[in-house]
Amino acid sequence: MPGALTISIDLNSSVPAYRQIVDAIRSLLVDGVLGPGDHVPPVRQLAIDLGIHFNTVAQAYRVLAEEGWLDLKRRRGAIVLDRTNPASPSKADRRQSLRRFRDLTAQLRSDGVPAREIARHLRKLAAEIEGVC
Amino acid sequence: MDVRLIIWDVIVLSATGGAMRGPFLARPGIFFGVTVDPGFPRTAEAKGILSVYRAIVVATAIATLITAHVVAWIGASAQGTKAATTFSSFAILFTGQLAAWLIASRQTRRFARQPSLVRTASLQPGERSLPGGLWFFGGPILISLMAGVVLAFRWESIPSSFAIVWDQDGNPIRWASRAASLGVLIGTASLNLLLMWISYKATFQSRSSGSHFQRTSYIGAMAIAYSLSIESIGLTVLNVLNVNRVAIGVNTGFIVVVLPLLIMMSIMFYLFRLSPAVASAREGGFAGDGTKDECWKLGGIIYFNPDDSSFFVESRLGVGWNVNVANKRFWFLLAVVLLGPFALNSILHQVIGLPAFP
Repeated sequence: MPGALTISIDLNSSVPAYRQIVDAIRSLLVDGVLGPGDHVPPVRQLAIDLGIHFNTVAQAYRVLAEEGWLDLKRRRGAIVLDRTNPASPSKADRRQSLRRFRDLTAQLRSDGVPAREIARHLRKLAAEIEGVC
Repeated sequence: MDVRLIIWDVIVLSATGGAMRGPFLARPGIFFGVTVDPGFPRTAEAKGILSVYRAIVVATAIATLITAHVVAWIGASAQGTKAATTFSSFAILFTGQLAAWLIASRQTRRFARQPSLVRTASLQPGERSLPGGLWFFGGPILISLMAGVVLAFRWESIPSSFAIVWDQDGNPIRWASRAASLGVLIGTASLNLLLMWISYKATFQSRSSGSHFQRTSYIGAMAIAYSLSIESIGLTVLNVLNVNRVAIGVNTGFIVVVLPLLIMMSIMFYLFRLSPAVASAREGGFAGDGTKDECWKLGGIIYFNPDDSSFFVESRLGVGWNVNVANKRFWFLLAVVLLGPFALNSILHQVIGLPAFP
């Protein structure tokens, strides 16, 4: 199903499905593909389309709501909020976030992705982020 | 020769033809309800499995026909024996074809591959529309409503009991009650509502590979609904007109039995021809339908997955949908379908005062 507003999850992945949904939607939010006022599908509809339990999608939406991205409305799906930029995280939170980043690269290397390729993708990603900001 | 025996022979041969074609109706990557490599059906192993399957199907058909004809030749004239013959030959046909499928499915499992479980969904509000629009969707109910209006206008002029079958000498041999006409109309309208609900829900809420499968399955379901509506006209309005000796120039037996059957068989033939083309048009690069083989029971006939919120999923047998029997709403729906006619009959009899429908 082509298009910018699609998300994909892999049920064979070790990453929980709800986390994959959160990460995918958050990517679209951060990149501005989904903007304030946009609707995302109702929990049940997205669950049916992905072939998973609706509790999984509900959990993903709750995480995003707690992060301040979504306003959850019954039956009509969720609405993307005009999220103000959060205050800079504390040093401890920042360390924890960066540690997750490091853990992800370690996992990529253990999956056999060459270090050079990881570095190349990181440079490309950094350029994209700096371009958006 | 008994006409009913000829009709039964046609049914058996049609069912056999359908069973022979069955393995080819599924999408690439599904063989006897098992996820396989898309090229597997062309291998020698697959052809061997198919040969065994077809041999059992043909043997079943022969056994069914022999059972029906031998008993008829012996001279089974008693009603009970006729019913037993029909039941036993149907049981042979059903059991034999099911056994053939299950055996083939078990043999295919040795060549199963892990389906891709990558799932993709759109976050865009989709533009969903019913094929043919609302008029096509509402057609069966409109037909039933028109039949109801005719019945309502003619109600007082219909005797409480009237003939519906005549022998060769023109003597009536079977009667129906006025309440039966109303019961038939309500029953077919209820079935149509159920079919239309299924069509609507499955079209919009089933996970499918694309609009082609949805459209094909929807057409199949609506064909059944239209056939039921036409049959309800034959069983209600035309009976009423016959009662009032209005010359309509049409054999009501044709309307009641043959015409709906012709419509359904035409549509089913069209779907059988269409489904392989639809399956091959499916986009994607992976085999199977994205569901796990473990969730499909009885060789891909029943879908059971408590982790899937879908009520409908695409059938692995080609066109159509399967219900996720792990979904709690399925059991509620089953109770409504099974108990609903009895409840309705009781309401009509006790509350409204109509004679109970036998």
